Amino acid sequence: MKKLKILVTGKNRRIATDVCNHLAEDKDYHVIKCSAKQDVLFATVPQERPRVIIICLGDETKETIKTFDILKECAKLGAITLIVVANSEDKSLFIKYTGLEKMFFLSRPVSLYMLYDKLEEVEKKYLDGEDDDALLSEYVNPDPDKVQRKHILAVDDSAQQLMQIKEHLKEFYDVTLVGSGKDAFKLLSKRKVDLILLDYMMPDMDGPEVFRKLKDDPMYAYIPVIFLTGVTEKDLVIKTLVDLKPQGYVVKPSKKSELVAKIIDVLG
Amino acid sequence: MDISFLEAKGINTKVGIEFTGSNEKYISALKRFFTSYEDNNKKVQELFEKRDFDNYGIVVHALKSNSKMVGAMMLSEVFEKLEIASKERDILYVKENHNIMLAEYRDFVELIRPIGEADVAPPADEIDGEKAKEIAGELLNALDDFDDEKSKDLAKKLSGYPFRLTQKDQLGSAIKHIDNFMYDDAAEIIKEISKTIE
Repeated sequence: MKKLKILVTGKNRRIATDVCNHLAEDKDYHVIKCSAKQDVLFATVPQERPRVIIICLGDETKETIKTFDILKECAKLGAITLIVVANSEDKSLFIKYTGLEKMFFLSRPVSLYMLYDKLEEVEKKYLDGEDDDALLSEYVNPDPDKVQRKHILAVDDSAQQLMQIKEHLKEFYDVTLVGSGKDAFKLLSKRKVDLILLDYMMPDMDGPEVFRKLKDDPMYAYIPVIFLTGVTEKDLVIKTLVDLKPQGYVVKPSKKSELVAKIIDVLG
Repeated sequence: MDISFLEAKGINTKVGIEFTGSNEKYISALKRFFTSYEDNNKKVQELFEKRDFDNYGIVVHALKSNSKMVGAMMLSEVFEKLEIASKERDILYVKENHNIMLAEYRDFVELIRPIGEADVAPPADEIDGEKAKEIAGELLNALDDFDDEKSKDLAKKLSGYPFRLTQKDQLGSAIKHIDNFMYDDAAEIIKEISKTIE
C-alpha cells in the first residue's frame, strides 16, 4: 500500500523533530525532515514530491516567511497540502507576508489529534486516487494553466549555457534564448519580458553595454536584470555591478536551485 | 546509459549531474558539448591565427564554463588559464599553450564520442515542394519569433525535402545557426533556399 509522504520543515527544530517522530512512529507515514533554507527546499520538494508539507514556524521575520514562497513553484509539479504550525504572532506575520494562497494553520501547542485528523483526510483522498486536483485546489490556483507564466529572456553567446538555462527554467517560466545583445533588443521590441538574464562577457556588445542601453531606454528601464558571470571575472563583475546596480548576479555554470532562487528573489 | 567510463578518466560526473540537474540532462549536455566541438574548435583556432586575443578570451571563457558544467574540471582549468592569459595579454603563455589546449579539448571530445554519437535522430520524412514551401514559411515565422524549439523542429522537417547538394549544405548551416540561437543568419539562408523549392 502506498504511504503518504510528508515533508516537515521550519525554523522551529524542536517542534519539527517532535512532529517527525510522532508521524513516523504513531502513523507509519513516510516522513522527510528538511532544512528551511530556500535552496534546500527547492532541491528537495520536486525530488521527493511530498503530498503534505508541514512548516513549523519559530521567531519568523518577513524575510524568513518569504523563503517558503518557493513552495508555490514546487506546487506546480503536483498536489501538496500545506500545514503551518505557529503561535499567534508568527501566524499573523505569515498571513501578512506569504505569497502562498491557501494553507491550514495549527496552533501551538500542537494538537496531534487535529493533525492526524487532517492527515487522514488527505490520506483518504490520496489513496482513493482523487488527490491531484482536489488537493492542489486547496492552496494554489486550481487551474495553473490559466496563470500567466512570467517571461524570461536569456542572453548569452554560449549556446550550451543558454540550453542549460532553458532546461533549468522551462518548468516554471516561458524562456526565450538569444545569442547577442542585438537580438535581445529585437526581441524586446516585439514581446514583453519580465526579467533578463544577461551574460557579462560577450563579443560585440558585452553585458554592461546591453545593460546601460536598457536603462537608458524608458521602454525597458523597468525590466530587472540578473547578470550571468564566470568565476574568473567575478571580482571585476562585482566592482562593475556596484556602479550598474542590476538586480543580482549568478555565477556560471549555475545549479537549478541557485538560478531559480535568484529569480524568485527578484520576481517574487 | 553507462557513464562510469568517464569517472575512470577523471571526469567529475557528480559535479556535472549537479549542474545539469539529472543523469539524463547530464547526458544531453554531453551530447551538446560533443556536437558543438567542431564549430568551437574552428572559432578558437581562427581567432588565435588572427591574433584577436580579445575575442579569443571570450571564446575560451565560454568553453571554460561549458567544460565545468559537464564535470570536465581539468579541461575547464586549461581554458581558464588561457582566458586569464589572453586578458592579461600574456601572449607568450597563449602561444605556448594553445595547441596543448586544442589537444586536451579534442581528447575530451573523443572520450565522450560514444555518448555524442548514440541515439542519433532518424532522418526526416520526405516531403514534396508544396509542403516544403509551407514549412519554410512557418520556419521563417518561428525564427522571427525567436522560438528556438519550433525552429529546430521545422528545420528538421524541411530537411525531408530533396534539396540539391548546395542547398542541403546551406540548410545544414541554417540548422547550426539555429542551434547557436543566431536567428537572423538562419532566416537569411532559409529565404535563399526557399527560392529553390519547386
